[in-house]
Amino acid sequence: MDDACFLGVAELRARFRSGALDPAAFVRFVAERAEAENTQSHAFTGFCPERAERVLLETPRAAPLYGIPYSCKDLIGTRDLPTTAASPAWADYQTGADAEIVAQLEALGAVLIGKNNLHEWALGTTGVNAHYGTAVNPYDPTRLAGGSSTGSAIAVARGYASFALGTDTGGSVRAPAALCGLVGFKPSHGRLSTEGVLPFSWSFDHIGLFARSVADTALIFSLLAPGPELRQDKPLKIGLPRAFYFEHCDPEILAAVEAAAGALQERGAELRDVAFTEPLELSRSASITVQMAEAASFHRPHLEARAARYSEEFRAGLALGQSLLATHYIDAKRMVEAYRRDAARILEEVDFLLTPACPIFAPPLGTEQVTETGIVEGAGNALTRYTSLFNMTGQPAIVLPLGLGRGGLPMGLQLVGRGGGDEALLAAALRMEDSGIVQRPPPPDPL
Amino acid sequence: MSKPDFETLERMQRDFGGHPWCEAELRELVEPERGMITGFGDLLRDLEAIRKRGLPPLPATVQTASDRKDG
Repeated sequence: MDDACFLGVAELRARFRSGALDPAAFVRFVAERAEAENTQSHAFTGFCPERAERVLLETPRAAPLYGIPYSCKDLIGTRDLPTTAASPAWADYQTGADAEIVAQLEALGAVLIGKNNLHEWALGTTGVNAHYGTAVNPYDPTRLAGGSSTGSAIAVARGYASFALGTDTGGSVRAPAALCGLVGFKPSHGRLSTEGVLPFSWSFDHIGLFARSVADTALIFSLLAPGPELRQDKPLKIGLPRAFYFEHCDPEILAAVEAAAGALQERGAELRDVAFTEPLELSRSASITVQMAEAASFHRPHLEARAARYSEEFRAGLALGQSLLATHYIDAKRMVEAYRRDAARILEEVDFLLTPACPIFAPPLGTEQVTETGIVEGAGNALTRYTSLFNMTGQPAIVLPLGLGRGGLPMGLQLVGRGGGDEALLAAALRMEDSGIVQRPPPPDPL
Repeated sequence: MSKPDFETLERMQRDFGGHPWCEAELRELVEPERGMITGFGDLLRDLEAIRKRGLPPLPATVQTASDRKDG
């Protein structure tokens, strides 16, 4: 059964259909292994074996995702498990209903095996969590896995789940995907439903997908948000925004991204340098201002009863959100509009943008400041430096693995498409996967 | 623009009906030590830069001549 854990969805379904693999036995196997290893992996906040058995019994076998195990970040509401946000203050919170996307997946036959750990309330991208444990990098347990959708990434990287749901407000799917050697997809804003998902910052919150291949990502997305057929038969026109996105990046990661761009060019893609006119060095501050003001607004009614049980880091973040002026929030939103126009303008010139996914390799546990890229910045800021803009602009963005680099750690690139052009983006990514530009790392060593 | 100090933040939350954050939480905004969130002083500096650089036009009905690109 071990060898099946890393199979793609289509291959699993073929084995289920042929009788070579029993879906119920397979789901039990991965779920039991996930639970047994959770004291080391810290990937899950809870498991739901009864629910899994019921779905296997009650869903028609012909359902397109029948028997495919998945997990979801514990901000996503489920009727039978608490939705904790990996926060002791919300450990007993029950939404009482499934989030819309969970209900969609259940109707498709996918089997939820449990809910994933995260950086408390998604405020942070390192995945450090004192209460539920820090889910460490599957390729080096002395290093961070990234976040905030940390456990979702671990679940897929370790073969507990065929795919996982995360949320991405500034890069919380794409950053851990990059650090864990996975495909991480943030669709266009609103393409996947956030109904029934606890908000962090409603302006920028997206549901995202983790998978081990573009093929799996495209299949799951097409079932959740049916759209045009995935076709990409004309030469790709790809923009390289060298200012900001190719600066202060680890040279080995940069070289891997340049090599991928070169490989695309050899296969007929047109590469063109492009430039944002708006100041990207202010984009993180605009994003943080909106995020923290909205988070402070959401949490305000709950603070009297719960604030003492939030982590110190989260309390400081909410205090910041409360201390901003209304005009700061509005100015930041107006700046977001400027970024939207700028990105849309560039994406009229080219079909896609190509950037590194993350400027650094997975940092060691305990890292607070990063200095190796020639600037001093918080680890969380560095991890999402290349991703957060596209939560503000709303375009779809996908992180693709580029194999293992120094120290056996994963590297990745980010491809960004036009707003609403999710299928075109996935089709291009699929071409990159089929032509060997995407380099999936081997599974990590077992625990 | 001077950096915010602890006393200012404490008075703001007290006088404006905010949640009463404790001293350690407000101190983190003034002298950040965790490295996970942008320091409040740095954030305000960037927000001032955003304000001064000229933001996109407001909706037409509330524009003044100076708001309009061609004004």
